[in-house]
Amino acid sequence: MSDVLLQGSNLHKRFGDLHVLKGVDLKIHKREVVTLIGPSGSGKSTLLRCLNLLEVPNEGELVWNGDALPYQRMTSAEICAHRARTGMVFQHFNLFPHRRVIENVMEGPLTVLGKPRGEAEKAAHQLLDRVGLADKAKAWPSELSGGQQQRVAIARALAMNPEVLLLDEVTSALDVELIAGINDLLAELAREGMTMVVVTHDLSFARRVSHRVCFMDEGKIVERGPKDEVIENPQAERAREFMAALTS
Amino acid sequence: MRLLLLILALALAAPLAAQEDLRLAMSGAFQPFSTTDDEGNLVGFDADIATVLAERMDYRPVLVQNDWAAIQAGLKTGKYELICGSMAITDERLETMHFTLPYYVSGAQVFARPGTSSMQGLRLGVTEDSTYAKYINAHPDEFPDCTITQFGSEAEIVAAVKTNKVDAFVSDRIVGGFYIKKGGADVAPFGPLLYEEACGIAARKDSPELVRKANAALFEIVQDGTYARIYDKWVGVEPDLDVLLKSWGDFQQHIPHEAAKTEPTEVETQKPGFADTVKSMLPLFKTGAIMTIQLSLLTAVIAILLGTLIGIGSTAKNPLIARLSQGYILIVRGTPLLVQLFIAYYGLATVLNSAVGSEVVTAFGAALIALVVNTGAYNAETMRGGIRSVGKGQWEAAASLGMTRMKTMRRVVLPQAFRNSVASLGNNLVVLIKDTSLVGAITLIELTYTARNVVFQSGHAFMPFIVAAVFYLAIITIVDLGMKGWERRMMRSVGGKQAMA
Ligand SMILES: Nc1ncnc2c1ncn2[C@@H]1O[C@H](COP(=O)(O)OP(=O)(O)OP(=O)(O)O)[C@@H](O)[C@H]1O
Ligand SMILES: [Mg+2]
Repeated sequence: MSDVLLQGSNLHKRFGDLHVLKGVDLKIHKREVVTLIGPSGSGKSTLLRCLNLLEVPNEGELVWNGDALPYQRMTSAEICAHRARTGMVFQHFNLFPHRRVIENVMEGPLTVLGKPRGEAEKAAHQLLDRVGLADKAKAWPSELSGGQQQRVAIARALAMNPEVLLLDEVTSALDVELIAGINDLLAELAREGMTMVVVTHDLSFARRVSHRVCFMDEGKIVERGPKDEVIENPQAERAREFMAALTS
Repeated sequence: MRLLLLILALALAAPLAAQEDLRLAMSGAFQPFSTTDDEGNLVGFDADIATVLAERMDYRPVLVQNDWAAIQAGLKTGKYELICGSMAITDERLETMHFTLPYYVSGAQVFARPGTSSMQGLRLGVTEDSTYAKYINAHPDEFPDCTITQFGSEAEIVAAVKTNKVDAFVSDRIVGGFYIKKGGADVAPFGPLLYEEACGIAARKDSPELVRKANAALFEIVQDGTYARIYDKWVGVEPDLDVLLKSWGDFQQHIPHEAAKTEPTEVETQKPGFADTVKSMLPLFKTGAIMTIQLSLLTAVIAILLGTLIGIGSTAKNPLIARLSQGYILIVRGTPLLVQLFIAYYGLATVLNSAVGSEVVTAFGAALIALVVNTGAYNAETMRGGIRSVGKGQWEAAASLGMTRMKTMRRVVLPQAFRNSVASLGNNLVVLIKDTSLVGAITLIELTYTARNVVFQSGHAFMPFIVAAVFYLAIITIVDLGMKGWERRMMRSVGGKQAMA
């Protein structure tokens, strides 16, 4: 058995006439951190959302752990099950504002995994402790800072015990002084062996945490490889310009 | 030539200048005595008599249409000078008003379906607050095991006979005959007259002079044949003048010289104190208040459930469900509640009851259905807005945890939709409570209907409405406080700040 967790081949996604993904190939190995970089509108979020079937691709193959994911024929229950094993964290946190912090973290285990309340609550407390918010369990999301809210969102995703974590610009909406904390948390998760696909514009984070970097442009991955090669010495013209703009 | 012009001018000007308005009231809902034509003018036997009498009394006739239940109140408050509206002369009414000599004589008659053999167990219709209703109440032995339903007008009773809501009805002999002739209902006079009744024109106690003049005019038109002509025109037969003249004798014997002799008195002042009046009225409001509260609460609960379901339906992915829900909202919000009440009562209830063969949908059931359907549509529209206002990010966050659409709706979207909608749901509820005042139209006795009844019974022109208003205000205030409390509870998660998407 290979160590590829999730593989996409020749993925296409269209929104009406807009062709957003134009044949993307991507392999994610277990315990690997892959960073997606690229200009705005190049399709990074769309690719990420195709991986957990938040968007259904129009064309192409998805393989999970060696088994094909026949997304055109999957029932909604099967799609939900796939989403449950792939955690996702959003740029704008998307916490449930009507639920307390601890309830946000417990929601998935309770309603999707059917865990008993006591167990879910215990696990949620451990996770909140882990992301440094043990004292905020009873708070409302609206009472937290952006950085704290994003930690809760990460805990909420981790509560499902996902096999891969999809992170879409999770620090872009945060003040600079809060970014480091989140990055440290993610780096620690990576060290522990969490498989992650990270969309970010933060090159230093990519350098520090990721193993491989993919550069996307106009719906395609135009350059990929070990992080040093892609970030420090990109071959594609667009990638060079983009890295230069980001580092300057 | 000049002289001629002058005479002509005087002849034209004199009556114009001299004529004052004389306002005469009738219900306009009592064919063939008073009804309205295509242009809304009052026409009928009463209308013609009123017009002719006023002219003979040297006034300019002004016919006023007034709801029967409040017709005495209108006289007292000076909305008009006379009631020329087929009002039967009774001792009770003579205590508060003057009457002219009878201007026609008729009587109370039971009309039942052909083949009816006894009164036993009949479902009887009768107009609310009529002398027939009082007679039935006072003589229960003549109507064994009968159920009585009160209606706003004879027209509604006929509709009720046709839709099999009642088996028989009690009304005026002439009026009943009129409807049978019209071919509207399959009923015929059953048994002898319950009693004979003479109708007179009513005036305030402070205007005996008007009564005297009206009597003189009445005498005149009976003598010169005008009366017979009008009677024939509307009733379809020649009047029996002997019966009329005999009734004049009876009337004068009954209250000797009263009509001619009474001294002018003050307009009736309300002698008992304000608080006493209200206190004496309160028990009368009990049934009505209970009905209003019952209907309001039941409707509120069911309509929130229905509104939520339809609200969800209207945002559904399935286009059929979405269209159906939106169509429902559109149709119900686009039609008046009163029309919906009539459809539920005369249409839906009748169809269901005859299909099942027993009364599964009562008047209360019909009212509840109409109110729920109506308020449900407004709630649905509110909830639709509430659901729409929950951001896409919430759906995605729930989906990324593996929650189904249904689960997301229930656990994530609806609670927030409620939070966003609770203020307008409360508003819908307040409107609903006030709208229950319309169910009197389908024979249910609620607060407003009660107030009208109390006006009729007590002779107080407006106090009962004040009492009803206070009741409504109290109910609505309590409901409002409840909704505000719920709103505060829901808002606690937002604190002072607005939650992030
Ligand atoms: N649901 C949608 N419907 C229509 N168009 C969409 C939808 N989602 C994304 N798009 C379009 O697809 C293109 C790619 O969007 P995407 O969000 O994947 O870009 P991105 O690389 O993540 O950009 P950014 O760095 O700005 O987040 C954009 O032009 C966007 O407008
Ligand atoms: Mg994006």
